[in-house]
Amino acid sequence: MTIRLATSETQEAVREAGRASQGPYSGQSVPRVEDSRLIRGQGQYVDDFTTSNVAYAEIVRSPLPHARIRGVDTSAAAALPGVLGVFTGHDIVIELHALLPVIAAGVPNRRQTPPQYPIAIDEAVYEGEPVAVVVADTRYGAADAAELVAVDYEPLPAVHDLDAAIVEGSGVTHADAADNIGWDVALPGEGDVDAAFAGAAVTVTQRIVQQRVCAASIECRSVLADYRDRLTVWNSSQMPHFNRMYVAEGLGLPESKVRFISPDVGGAFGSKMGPYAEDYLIPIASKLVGRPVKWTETRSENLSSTSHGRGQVFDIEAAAAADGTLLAMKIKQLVDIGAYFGRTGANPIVSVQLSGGCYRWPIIEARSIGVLTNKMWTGPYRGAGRPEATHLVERVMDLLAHELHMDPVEIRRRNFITRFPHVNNFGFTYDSGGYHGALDRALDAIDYTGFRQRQADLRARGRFLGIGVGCYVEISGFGPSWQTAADDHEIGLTESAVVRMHPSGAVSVFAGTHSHGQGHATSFAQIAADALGVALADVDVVEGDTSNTPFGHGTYGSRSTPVGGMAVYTACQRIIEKGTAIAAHLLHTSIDDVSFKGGIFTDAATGERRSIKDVTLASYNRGLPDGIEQGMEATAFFDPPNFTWPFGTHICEVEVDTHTGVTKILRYVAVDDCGNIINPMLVEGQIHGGVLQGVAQALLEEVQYSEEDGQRLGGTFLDYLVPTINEMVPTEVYHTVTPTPTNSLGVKGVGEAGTIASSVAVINAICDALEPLGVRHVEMPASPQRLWHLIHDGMPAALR
Amino acid sequence: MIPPQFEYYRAQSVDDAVSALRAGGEDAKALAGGMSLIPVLKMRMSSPPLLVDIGALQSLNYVRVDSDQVCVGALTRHRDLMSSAVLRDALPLLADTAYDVGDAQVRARGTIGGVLAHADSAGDYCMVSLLLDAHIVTTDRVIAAQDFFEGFMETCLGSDELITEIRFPVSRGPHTYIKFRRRRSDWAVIGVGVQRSLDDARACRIGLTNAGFTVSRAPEAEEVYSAGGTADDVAAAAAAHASPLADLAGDVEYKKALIAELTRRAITEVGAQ
Repeated sequence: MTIRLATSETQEAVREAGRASQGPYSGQSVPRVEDSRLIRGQGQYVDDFTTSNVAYAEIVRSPLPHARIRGVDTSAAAALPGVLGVFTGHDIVIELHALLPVIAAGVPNRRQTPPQYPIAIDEAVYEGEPVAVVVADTRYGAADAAELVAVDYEPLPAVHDLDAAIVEGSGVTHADAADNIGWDVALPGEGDVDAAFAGAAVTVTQRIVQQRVCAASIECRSVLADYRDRLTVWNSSQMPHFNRMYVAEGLGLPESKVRFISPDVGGAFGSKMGPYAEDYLIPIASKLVGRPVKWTETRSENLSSTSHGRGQVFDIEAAAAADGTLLAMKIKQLVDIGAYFGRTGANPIVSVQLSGGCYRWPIIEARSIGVLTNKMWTGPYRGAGRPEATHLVERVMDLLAHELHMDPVEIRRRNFITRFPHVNNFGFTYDSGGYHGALDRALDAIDYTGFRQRQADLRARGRFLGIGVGCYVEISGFGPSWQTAADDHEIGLTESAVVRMHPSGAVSVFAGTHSHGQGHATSFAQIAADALGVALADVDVVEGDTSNTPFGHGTYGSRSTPVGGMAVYTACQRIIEKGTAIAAHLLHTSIDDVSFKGGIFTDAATGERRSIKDVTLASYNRGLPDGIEQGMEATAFFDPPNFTWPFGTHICEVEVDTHTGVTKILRYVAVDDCGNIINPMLVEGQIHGGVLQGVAQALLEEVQYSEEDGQRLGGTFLDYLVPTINEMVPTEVYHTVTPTPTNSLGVKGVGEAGTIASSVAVINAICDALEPLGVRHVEMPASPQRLWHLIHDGMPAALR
Repeated sequence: MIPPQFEYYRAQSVDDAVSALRAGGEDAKALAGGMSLIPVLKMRMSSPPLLVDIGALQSLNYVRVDSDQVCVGALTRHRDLMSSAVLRDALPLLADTAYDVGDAQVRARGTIGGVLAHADSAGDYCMVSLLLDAHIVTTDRVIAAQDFFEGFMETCLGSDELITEIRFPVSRGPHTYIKFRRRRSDWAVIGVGVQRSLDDARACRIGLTNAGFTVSRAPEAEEVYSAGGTADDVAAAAAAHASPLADLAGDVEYKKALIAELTRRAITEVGAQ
């Protein structure tokens, strides 16, 4: 295994970024300041926190995907020594002032959004749904008591197959519902799609399945709630402010009386956005027993009851002219919502809106159907809509190339968008790009021409190598309020920061984002240190506590640097503005004559200087000019004018062992362009992890359900195949640098980029490898068993 | 992942452990490395009233070669097996097998006796012991490996009977163990072990891991080999007579194909040694 760091290409990117930000830190691979703590076991996660007199909760969950609850007998559990309370849905609902939210912005034309209580009352609609909450003196006591809660379930048929679920008269996910349709929305294309197909030289039809996957963060979810005159909640979350807002509403408390603290978070990948049922149940339990209550998810619960990712099916038709020019695409999308919307609504439509990829499509006509099923709800999962879109369009490009007997690279080249800004088929504006450059860089790095020769030579010797290209453009930096606050009741996804210079000149940055592995303590400090001209070591970044950070939206959607980082940068600019006025006062000159660079205010006329440290001390001193208040701090809410649109090309080289069906990744080249780079090492880390996560979806991971009764199969890490370091992909990371005009740092998001093109690069490579054996398309995960059957089924025994 | 309550007793000696188990009744369990038992407890799939911890009995951690026998103490850990120079010389197949069990943490904790007592069909040492006609020494008796494994995770061990030693014949001939796994540290989806006699190139034993309710030998395939069959012939015989079980990792047809392919590779490899 080789992990290549700091390629020469990266160094070039570094210099470019350094020029852009004009500071010594930005563009440098500054070691992560949080690592010393984290790798020495000094990280503090929710489960590490305690307070006096803590009690422990265990959740009794439905073992069935769908059942009527005829009764819950809590008497034996309640009688166990040390048990403080056993609460059923009927007990909880009395305390509830609002239900779990449906995130409206992403849910077009809602047909039905089943009301979601944090606990089942008379009907359980997914396996793992809470049915009772047991609180006891000890965690063991709670677990023992939970086993004694006797729930009388009447099993009901479970809805699990998407095609069957949308047929009129099929069984229903919720017993009182008419059907399973959550939404059914047409996104018509402009123009005559049928005429485009009629005039096409080639057309392809394909179903593409995005299987359900688990985020499987190393730290499971955890809640510690202390309900007194105010409510304090320690919660493993990507977005403490959002969760406070919803939970305060749910418990009927003023937001100001609720404090959410998300300390170190051990991974999330979109799954810790919440709010979750337990975010309501544990505070309510604390209120009911009059003691702080802690609950920490087990791995089994994490796999069953933390939101799943993906879970989408696409039926595609696409048409192209003889020269490869794309003509039209029709998409029917089925989204496996699960039993409740959860956060499903936030992303699946993105899969359609970005389905055109990096290409010019005269017409894309789409229909999206959200399907309710008796399963845990699906939610954002690293990439959230963009891997689905990229997988779809990049498979289509290969299928069209195959029909046209054209090299898959060539059809991409002929259709790339080359002029920016570019408005795509669904009204989104791609800010900047250079798709040919990223593709060329990747082809060069992997020696595409040389590979084709080797591939032909080895095929002649019975070995099956393949190469797969995945080009992507993605949406990051969520997001401009004019596009994200869908109606008068929504809030725009801006981001906030308070930057405070203390009298000593040290700097605290309070950010509304929340790092769960991204490294904000380092990257935000780099931005602030450069902007203020102070030493990196003097900057401290504080996140995750609603009591000392401004209202922020948290960390997801590759937004923290382009939106949160810009809030930090903007607040710093405001401090400089104030500092300039104070410096002018100290230098006995006018503001217009004072310039600021590298932490020094300079009088242009005399050359006399004042350091920002001196100016900061003066700001807290006496004798400030009229109109200038004491102190050096500023708050900024950054509302970006647009999303940012990172792009790149990933190319994967595989060999498939046709005897066992095993895919081996021989090489993996990633070329990503996220604009200017603040910290190349953090970016490379994101790409390595993201690629592995996408490759794992392509080869390993899948939440499986029984075709017979919809019961989830497996449910431990023995059968849910999360990749380990042994499965690490030897990713070669390169960059092109195309700064965005959307923000003054020129930065785009990168947290999800690695995942976006990786699953399809692998699948395209497998299809390429097996093309001589008549394999045209492969679903994920491309498990050995699946590939073996694709290769061998229908093959005469003698040839096997 | 919270186990139910149990009594815990840390045994001071083998005799002490046996009497503690006897006093604890039918459902008392011995705890060695805990690599299988602890997860079972945490998921509440079993609730023994008493765990007798034998993990500290250093007297059962050894590898000795006694003329034509390799004697391995029941509490010898994977890590000790893989790094034992004595074992590497006298029974390299077992040393290789230990090297490829689980991950580093499992290898530091898990024991050979624990693997045998757990009797998982995917237990690598179960296959090796069956393959080599090992003898399993307990506190009561000596049991031939072929009599030891009785069914799906079932052995003939009594509830107060402990494995103390496993005796393998010294085997220095060409050998291999090929495990097919989805991830590097997983249990084998299918494993094929081959040990050829040092003296007789046509005498070869073939063992299968996770190819049925218990580990198994492939006698028909062994016969084809000794009759001079090609690797393909041997592979076909192994697959034809195996009864693998369908699960999430593979259906029966696919697993049979794996048995054939792994056998073919193993025989080819050993033949070339």
